Parts: sequence; C-alpha cells; structure tokens
Amino acid sequence: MAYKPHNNLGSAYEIRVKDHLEKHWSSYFKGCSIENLDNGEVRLTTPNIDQAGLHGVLNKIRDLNLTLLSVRRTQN
Amino acid sequence: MEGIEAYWLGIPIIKRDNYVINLETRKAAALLAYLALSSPSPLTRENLATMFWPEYDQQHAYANLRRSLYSINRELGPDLIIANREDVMVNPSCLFWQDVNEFHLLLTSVKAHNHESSVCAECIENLEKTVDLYRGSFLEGLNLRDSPEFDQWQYLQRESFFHDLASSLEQLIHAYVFLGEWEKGIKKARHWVSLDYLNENAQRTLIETYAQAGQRSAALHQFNEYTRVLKDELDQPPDGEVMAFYQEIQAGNARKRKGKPVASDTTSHINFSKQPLIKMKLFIPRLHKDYVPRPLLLEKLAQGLKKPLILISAPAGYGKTTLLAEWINSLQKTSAPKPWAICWFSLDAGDNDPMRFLTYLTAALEKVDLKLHAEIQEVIRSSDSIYPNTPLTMLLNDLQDQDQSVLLVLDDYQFINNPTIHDGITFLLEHLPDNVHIVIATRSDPPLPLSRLRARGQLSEIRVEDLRFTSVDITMFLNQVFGLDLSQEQVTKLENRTEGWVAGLQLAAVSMQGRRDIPKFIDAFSGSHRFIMDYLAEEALSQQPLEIQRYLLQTSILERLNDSLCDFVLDVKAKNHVSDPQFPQESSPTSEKNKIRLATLEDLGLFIIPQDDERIWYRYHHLFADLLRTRLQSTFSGLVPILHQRAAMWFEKHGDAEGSIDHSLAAEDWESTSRLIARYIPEYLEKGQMTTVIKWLEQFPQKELFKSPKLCIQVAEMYSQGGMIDQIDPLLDKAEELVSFKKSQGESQDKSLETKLSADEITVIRSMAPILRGLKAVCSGQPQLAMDITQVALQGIPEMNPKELALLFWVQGWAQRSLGNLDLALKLLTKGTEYANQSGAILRDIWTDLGNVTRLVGKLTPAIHILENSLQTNFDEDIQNQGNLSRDESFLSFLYYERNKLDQAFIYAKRALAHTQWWPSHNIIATANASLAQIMLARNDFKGSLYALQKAEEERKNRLLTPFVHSLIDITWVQVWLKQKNWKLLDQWEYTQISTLESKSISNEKIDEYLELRLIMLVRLWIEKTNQDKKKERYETCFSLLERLETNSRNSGRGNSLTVILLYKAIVLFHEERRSEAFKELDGCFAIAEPGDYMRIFLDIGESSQGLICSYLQQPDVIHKKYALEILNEFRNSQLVEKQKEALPETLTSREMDILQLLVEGCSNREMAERLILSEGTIKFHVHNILGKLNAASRTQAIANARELNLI
Repeated sequence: MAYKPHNNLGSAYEIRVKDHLEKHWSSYFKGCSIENLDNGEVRLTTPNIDQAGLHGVLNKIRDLNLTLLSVRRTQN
Repeated sequence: MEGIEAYWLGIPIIKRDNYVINLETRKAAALLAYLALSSPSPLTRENLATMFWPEYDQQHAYANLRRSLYSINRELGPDLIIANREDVMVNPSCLFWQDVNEFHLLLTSVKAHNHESSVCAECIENLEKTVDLYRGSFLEGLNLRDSPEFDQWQYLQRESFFHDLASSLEQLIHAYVFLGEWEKGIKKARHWVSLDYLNENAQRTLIETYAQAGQRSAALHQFNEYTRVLKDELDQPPDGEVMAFYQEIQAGNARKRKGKPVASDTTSHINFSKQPLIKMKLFIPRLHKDYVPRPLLLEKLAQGLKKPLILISAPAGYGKTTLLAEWINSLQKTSAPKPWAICWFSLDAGDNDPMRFLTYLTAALEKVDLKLHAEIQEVIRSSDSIYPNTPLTMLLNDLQDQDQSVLLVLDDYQFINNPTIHDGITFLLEHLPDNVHIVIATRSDPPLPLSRLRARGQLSEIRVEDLRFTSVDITMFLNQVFGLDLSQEQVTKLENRTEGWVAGLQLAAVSMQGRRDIPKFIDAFSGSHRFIMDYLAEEALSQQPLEIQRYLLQTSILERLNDSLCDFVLDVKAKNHVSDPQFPQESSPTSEKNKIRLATLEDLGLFIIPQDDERIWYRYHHLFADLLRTRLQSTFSGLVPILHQRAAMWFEKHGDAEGSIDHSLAAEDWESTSRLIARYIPEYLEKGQMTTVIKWLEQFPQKELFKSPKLCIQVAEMYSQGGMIDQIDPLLDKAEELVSFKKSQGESQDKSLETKLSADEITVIRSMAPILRGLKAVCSGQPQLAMDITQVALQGIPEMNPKELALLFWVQGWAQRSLGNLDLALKLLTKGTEYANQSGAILRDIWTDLGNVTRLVGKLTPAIHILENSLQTNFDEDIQNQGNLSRDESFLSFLYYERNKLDQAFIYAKRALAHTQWWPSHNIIATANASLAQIMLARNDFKGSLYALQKAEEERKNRLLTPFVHSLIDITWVQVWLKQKNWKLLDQWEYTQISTLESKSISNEKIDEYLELRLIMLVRLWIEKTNQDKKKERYETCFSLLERLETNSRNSGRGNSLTVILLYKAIVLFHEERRSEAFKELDGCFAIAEPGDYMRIFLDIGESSQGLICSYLQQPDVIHKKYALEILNEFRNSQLVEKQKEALPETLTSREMDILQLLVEGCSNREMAERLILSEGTIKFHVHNILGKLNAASRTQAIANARELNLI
C-alpha cells in the first residue's frame, strides 16, 4: 500500500547478450521484451527503469551466467 | 568562620568573617596567594616587585607593590600582611585558613598511615575531603599575562596539586574496588577522567573499574569513547597499556573481585546464545560424492593461505562452492596439531543490514571458541551500528589469541551492496592476525581495495579461467562420474560449446544419461545458438520420468525444501482444486514407497543442495531454481497460486508464521492471509516486530483489508503506535460500519461479508474504535474530546475486556496529562497498568507514559526507575530485536540529558534509533533524534546536532505526531539558533510565539504542557537577547510571563517545568539587582531540582545562571550549598571542554603533537631532531607553528597552555 511509483520514469535500455533465450525469461527479466537476433545474439529491451532497476537486470544476467555484450540507453 | 579564609583550588575565593571579599585587582589576589603559599618565609620587596611588575622600572614597581599590599590590608584587616623596608610576609599569628594547607594536612595524615595497598576507613574519609577541597585547578582563571615568572610558579603549583588530587582519586578508587563499592569507585574514576580525559592512567582505571564491577559493556564503551577522543583530539591510537588492558577485559581476565555487580548494567542480562539464527546460513556445504577432484586448484588455495584473502570470483555455476567444499574436506583430513576452525557464512540480500551481518558473522565464528561471543553481540546491539569497527576490533583481538588456524568463508558475497559492510571487511583484512584467513566467493568482484591488496601481495585469486573445466576435467566428469563413454572429439565439442562451464556440463551429463543417440545430441547441442540452460534443461528434464519432472517444477516455488513439505505441496488434489488439464497426472496415487525423496534427487545430480547435516532441509541451486520457476510460470501458471497455498498451509501447521504468510501472500489468497495476519499481529507487535508486519501489509491490498473489521482495528492500532495515527480514520470507520451492519442485519442475512466474528471479537472492535479515536484526539490537541469519546465508550460497553480497559485508561491518562491534571493522569495510568496486568498483555506504552508523567511531575529518579524497570521486564522475556523498547529508551535519553549524563543519554538515544529498525515509529525516530540533537549541542558538536535535528524534522514533516514531539523539535531548533546566534530566525520564531501568546491571553486559557515548553523557551530567548542588547526593559515582559507560567504550572502540578520557571525568575530578578528575591526563587527552584538531580536546566542558560549561583553561594547560611556547588562544578567541567575547542581553533597535527610531547619532556631542538629523524630547521618550523596555534609567546607558555587545554 505504501508503494508509490516514482514520478521520474527512468528510461529504456537495450541490452545484448550472447545465445538465444526462450520467451518465458521475460518474466524473470521483469517484463523485458526478448528478441533473438540472427547473429545468435539476444536483444533484451527493458521497460522504463531507473539505474537501480538496470542494475537489477544486469545482476540477473550475471546470475544466469549469460555473456553480456553491450548496454545502451534507447530513449528517455 | 571568623578570620580570613582563602580557597585557592579553583576560581579563587577569599572570605573575611564569612563574607566574600573581592580584591581590587587580579594582581593583588595573585600577590596574596603567592605570599600565603610562601608563608612563613618572608619575601623581599625587590623580588616581589620584579616578579609581579617586570615591565616597570624599579620605582614604579615598588609603588605598585605598596599599593597592592595596602589594598589587601584594607580589605582583609590591617594585620594580615606585615612588611618592613626590605621584606614582606603573611602574619603568622593571623587567623588565616587556606584550603591548600588543609589539603596538604589531610594528605599527610593519610601518608602517615603508610598503607601498602588499600586504605582504612579514616583514610577514605580524609581522601574524600581532599577531593572535595579540590574545586578546580590552582588559581583557576588567574593568569597574569605580564608576569611570566608568576605564571611559571602558578603552573608548577597547579601541576603539583593536580598530581596530588589524581593520586588521592586513585587511592580512593582502589579502596572502593577492594570493598566492592562499585558505584563509588566508578564515580571517582569518572571524576578523574572528567578532569583529565586524555590521561591514559585515568582512562585505564575507569575502564578497569567498570570491568571489575561487572559492567563490561560500560567498560568497552569507555574504551571506545577514549579511542574516539584520542582520534578526534590528537589523531592517535590508544597507548599500548590501555590496549593491552582492553584485550584483557575481552579475554575475561579482568573479572570482578567481590561484591555484587551494579544492577544498572541491564544489557548484560541478555542471553544472545538463544538468537534464532538460521543455522542453514552457517552450514558448511558437504562435498557431493560424485565430484571431479581439482588438485591444481587445491594447490593454489593452499598457497593462498600465505595471504590474508583468497578471492574466488566467477559467475554462477562454475563450482566455486564445490571447490571450497573439497578444500575444506581436505583441510579437515590433514593431521595438523590442532584442527582448522572452519567458519562458513552464506550471505543473502538481507545481510546488507550491518547489524544482522555482524550478528551472523560472530555466530559463524562460534566454531572458534570465542571468549567474547556474548560481549561482542552486546556491543553490536548497543553501539552505533554505523561504526562496525568496534565489534570487529573485539573479534580480531579474540581471534588473535586463538592457538588454532581459522578459515572464514563468505559465500555469495555478491549480495552485499552496503558500503559499510565493505568497509568493515576491508578493516578486517587490514588487521587480520596471521592465523586467520578469509575466503570470499562471489559472482562479481567486490568493491574492496583489490588492487592495493594485490600490489601488497595480500591477495590470492581464483577466477573463471581457473575454474573452467579443462578437457581432462570434462572427460573425467562425464566418463567416470557419470559413466558415459565419450570420445576426445566429443569432449572437445562440449568444451567449446560450454566453455568449461560446470553447471552446463552437469546438465549435459544428466541429459545424456540413458540416451542412445549421444553423438546426435552433442552435435545438435554444439550447433545450437540457444542459451545453454534453456537447451539443456529441456533435454535434462525430458530425460527424467514425468513424476520427477512434475516434482521439480512444482517444488521450485519453495525457498527451502524438506520431504514432508514437498509431499504436502505436491498433493494439490487434496485441496480439491481442478487440476490443470494440460498437466500429466499419474493415474494412481503414489504409494509411500514410490515417493520421491530429496536425497534421491541429490544423487541424480539435479542441483539440489543439502542445508544441514541431517539432510532434512535442502534448496535448489540458484541457477536451477530460477530456471524451474520460469518454466513453471510459463507452462502451468494456473498452478502456482495453488502450490503457494499448500505451502502456506504446511507452514501454518508447523507454526511458522512468516513462512505461512509469505506463501499466502504469494498465492494472493487474501482470505487466508487476512486470517493469518490477524492471528499473528498481536504476537509480532508485542515482540516489537513492526517492520515485519508492515512488510506483510505492503503486499496486502487495501480492498481486502477493508473486508475484515478485526484486521482494520489491529492495523489502526499499529498505525497509532507507529506515528501514523493520521491514517486510522478510514480503518475505524470501516470496522465500525461492518460490525454495526452485521449487528443490525443479523447473522443469517449476510453471508457475503464472511466476518464470522464471535461476540467477544465484536466487543473488542467496538471498544477499540473509540479508544483509538480518543488517542488521535489527544494527538490533535483535543484532550477534552478524547475524554468525552472514551467516557461514552466506558459507559456504553460494560462488557469491555481488561486489555481494552487498560488502553482506555491509558488514553484518558494521556488526555488528563494534556489537560494539565497530572495527579489524575497518574491515577488513570496506574489504573491502566492494573488492567494490563490483569489482561496478561504487556502493553508497554502505558508503563512508558507512567514514567513520562512522573518526569513531568519533576520526579526524575522514580521516572528513570519506571522506565528502566520496563526495559528490564523485557530482558527477562528474552525476546530478540524488540523494536518497541525504543520508546522507553528515547525517554530515558531525555532523563539522563536532564541530569547532564550525556554519555548515558547518548547511548539510550542511539539504542532507541537502532531499535526503530524493527519498530519504525515516526514519533520515536523524531524524539530520539531531537534528543541526540540536544546532547550533541551540549557536547559542542554543532554539525552533529544539526544533522540529528534535520532528521527529526524530516520525520515530523507533514505528519500528525504527538504534540510533545512537535514542541520538542521546535524548541530544539531554538537551541540550535541560539548557539548559531541566528537572530533573524529567532526573531521570526519569537514573533510567532508572541502571537500565539496574545491569542491565549484574551481568552485567558490554560496553557498546556506543549505550549508551556515553547513559552519557557521564549523566556530563555528573551534573557539571552537581553544579555546581548542590554534592553533591560524587556525583563518586565519576561517577569509577567513567568508569573503567569508559574501559576499555570503550579496548578497543573508540573514540577518539571516549575523548576525552570523559578530559575528564570531568579535570573531575571538577579539581573534587575533584586538579589534577595532572586535567591528566594532560586531556593524554590533548588527545592524541586535537587532531589531530581537536574543539571542541564542550569547549564543550558549558561552564564546567566552561573553568575546567579556564584552570588547565591556568597550569602551566609546558604540552604542548598552542596547542590549549588555541584552545579558550579558541572559548569566548570563543561566549560573546560568548551574552552579547549574555542582556544584551539586549529587542531595540532599528529607530528606537532609528537613535538609538543618532546617539548614537555624538555628536549632541545637538536634532541628532538635526532629522535624524530628530522632536521633542526624542520623542528624549529614545527615549534613555531605550535606556538602560533597555542597562542603562546614561549615554549614554557606553550606547555602551560597545552596543559590547560588538556592536550598533554
């Protein structure tokens, strides 16, 4: 009940990792969309999140031993 | 006493026939002192003239001497000084009493007894008298800047008297310790420290006395205080001897000798060994029987033992834990003379709380026979949790004494993100004894100073490259452990695809077991771009019987598993839920024999890890659990809530409240959650665990809350206790609405509401709603309304239970307190406690407020007694983390502040704040911070004070807190502004108060306690303002307000405020030269203040009261002489500290301190240069700076000034 979303919505990020992921991981990645690319990489697109949220996603990538290739902010 | 009396020890006082005489000049007083102390030897005029007037020519110096001698004789009688042309002396036949003679006489008589160790009763009495005579340093405040020779003489005398005093104190302390009179011994030791707080011997004696009295926590606290002071003042660590002694206390050698320990050391009663620790976190993982030995890595680890830290840093699933298990296994087998002590600590996200981290850390180290375990735990609880270095130092010292090698493993360190903990670990590493080694296993590099450690050769690392399985490892793993028969080529393919990732290889092995087309599998796998886990999990699961697949997926919702729990959860049909049609169910119920056991799964290599030696509790490997959960979610999402429901039922059946509520919340089974929370709230709040309850409620929808009138009331009660009373109305409205609806409709008509309340529960709800509304009315400044509401309830609900009656009288007591009827308030609160006893509930708040009202009456001693008793009750209950102790603690902080016991006040405020972690009441956080702000201000820590006050301000902003808290924060701001001399803000504040006051005078209303606090502060502001601008006409306004406040306070019986009001009246009268009236008021003030030992009220208003009390003491037949002297003594102590801060605007560097020390030893520049290995030029430069900073013209003066500032 006490939870209030912050006004600043943060931004979306595009994260690339190696190896294709099943769609069901998007719930593990807190609502990220998962797109498997032809070059064998995966593009994870986060919803608008703040820095702490981004670190949360990166930690989850680490915890699955996925190989992180790049992180890029897409828009505000 | 007839004749002349001279008091030289302290600010000089000279009396003639009991009247205080002020000599014309300071020099005359100095001259008299010099003559008196030199008596009976005569002194030549020549010497005296050159000594006191060195800057004059002989003729003028002689003239000055004559004039001074004449003025002395004029004031003190013509016979006191006798002089001829050459010599001057004090007349030996005069009645001339001097404190210094008495001082020496007493000491001589003690010396004559020639006691070897402890002294006799007569000597104790004489020593006590000696100590009493010493009011302060010799001729305090009587420095003659123009007479260095006198200054030097005075300095030597001062040192010699102080030395005698210190040795008297020391003898007394030893005597009291010998007799087991701890309190007296401690008092003397504290006295000594307060006079000479950088003195190692004094500090050590105090610490030692505490330790011998059995007050270990006080001893350790004093040590920390000393360390802090040394650090702050001199930037130095404690001396070797104190350190050595400190270690002795830790080792438990410094035990008490005889007598009873003092009861005030309450914390030592806590038995920490009963802490409900999760043993699993400290469980050393066992080595699975099927593992690949890694001799190279073991060798590397063994080499790593030469260094303090081994870091194993690699992503999940690289076998970090398994490697450690293998290593520990081998360490335990080696035939060392003494076995290794292996201490394991698996971290999780909850360990980011430093207090919890330290608690678990020390518990992990219990494997080593730590002598100080309980002690350290106590320090962790009681001390400031922001500085974990104290308990860590204790740990280190304890570990150092072990004759055994210790290995401390911190597994899953990646969960730690709190910098305080990283700092603590860095501190540990930097001070680690040789016999202790730390291993950190983590998925990402910790923010410790790794490069520094590397450069110093203090770090050994095992990283992902080391951990990857080589083709040899893989061959062994797959062919020998899993019994496969793979070719070298196939192994290489797997190695390339998995990059030696152990978890991947294990899944591959499970997938390949029993498979015929292994080459095809390997080809397909190595050609795939899918995430290894996705690919292999599917394969591995598909290789398992359906039964096991189902088991794994469905039990993945559990954080920890055991067979009974898993069986229960899997039995989803029992709940009579429609089973998911997609999911394959076995046709026949599984018989006992066929049931899957966790141990079997462990054997299959299915990532299941035992959590204890008995193999009862297990958990899935994090990686595997994540994988299973996402699969469960995506395939059988409908089943998830049902599984959680089953888990909740199992935990409920086994009495695990948190397990059941967590799963119930996850199941979104609101009905059960509501029932469970309602059941456990009273227990959790009684145990002080508000934070846990708040966490539950955050996940519980309000809509659902509104369905249960019982829960509404309970939550409203919790909000009231947590300073969120402004949120209770909707809850109470809803509860009453539901109950009355139910009552009017009758049970049969409304089944949809599902209230299912018993008659008794309805009574509770009907009682509690008006009680809580009454409480809110009190907080909103409407005490009469509170009385009315509760009175109606009292009459309207004759069947009210004792617990609610207790609370009702508590609210009424509070209302009467606000109405200014303290007698009645005390009666009602006492009645409340009687009903509380009857009800069997603790109802801590009632006791706390009883203590509080007792404080308001002005009886500090009983108030402290009530509150400390209330805390004590709790220690007996042996409940941990009791957050609701914080309320008692915050008020105790005030009481000790009032007595100027700043250390105790500080500890209580800090403890209160530490406890609010489990009891986040805005009222308490604000109160404790305001108290801290006042304490820091009294300690001249302006920054710290402002910081604490800002925190208090944040807490109260936009909240309806108790009126007391609001007033308290307001007046603390004024205190801060007064210190700042921020007249602009003070004027604004003054203006607001005056308008409030004006509105009150029209209606001639009673002034309540809360406005009274502000108005008294207003008078203080006026007094201090008048000291500045000298507009004495303001005193009239002061006086009339004070008169009104006095009548008002007397009518209410508020001794606590009356004593301040009378003091201020006395000050105003004194300023107006109406002395005898002033002293009469002061006697009135003392009459209340003395039994309560009030101190701060005098100190806070500063010089105004000091001057008053000094003059008061000069009258004949002073009634409260002893107390008045005590107050002046406190003034002196606090001014000494202040003086040091003010006189030394620039602190000396540690190098300058070294040099200062050598100056004291009388070293020449050359000697200093040799000893410090510096050039003479550098020494000169430093000495020059020291003289500048100490505002001294010569080295001797620098030493004198430094001593005066307690720098050396």
